[in-house]
Amino acid sequence: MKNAQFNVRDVKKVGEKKLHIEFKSGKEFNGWFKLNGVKAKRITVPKGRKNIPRKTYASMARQLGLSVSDFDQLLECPLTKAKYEKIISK
Amino acid sequence: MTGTATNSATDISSLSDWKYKHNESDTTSTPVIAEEGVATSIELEKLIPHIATYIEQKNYAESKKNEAIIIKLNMLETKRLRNPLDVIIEEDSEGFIARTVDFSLFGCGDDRIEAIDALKFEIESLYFDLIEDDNFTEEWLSIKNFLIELIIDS
Repeated sequence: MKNAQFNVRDVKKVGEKKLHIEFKSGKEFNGWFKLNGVKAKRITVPKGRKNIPRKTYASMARQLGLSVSDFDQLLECPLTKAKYEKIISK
Repeated sequence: MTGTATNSATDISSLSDWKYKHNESDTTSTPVIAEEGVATSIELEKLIPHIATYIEQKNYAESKKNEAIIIKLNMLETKRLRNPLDVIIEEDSEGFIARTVDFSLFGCGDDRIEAIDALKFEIESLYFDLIEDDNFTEEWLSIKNFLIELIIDS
């Protein structure tokens, strides 16, 4: 788990850039990932927390339908949008 | 030298005899060192069960602090629920995380109450997202139906 390497801004940024998630700002940031135009996954990115605690990190991974190690890869870059779509389509 | 050693041995045995004869009740005439020694060991013996209980309680409290707890949520921020919703609350680094059992949603906070409040907000936020349209996967449509049945929309 590489939660210590990333902060909430990184998660939001990767969500926006790589997965084209549009976040809505409420108490937290929430956004939907669309698979073939259909809303398939919804992620919550907490506001006001620079570091991401372990369980929060794991919960965000779960929301995206990823294992923690796949989520690490998504944030680190090796996991592309196409690969992500393949994982969640299984 | 031998004589001195014998004398010391005699002194110790006579002190034991003296204590035995006086049944340790006459503290005013008991040698100070012997009296202090007896009093300390008795006090310690009395304290041992208390110390053991204290350690047990402290360990129990520590284990409870880190343990996940499940609560039943009956209300959201502005809406009520027809049936209680199971929520798991766990310590998460320096804060807490509250998450729903039935679907993947969480709220964080510095304490348990804050985490629950954040989760309540998240559930309502998800509910409003889901009632906007039907452009969702089957999984989300079933969560939508679940929430529509659960939330009293007044």
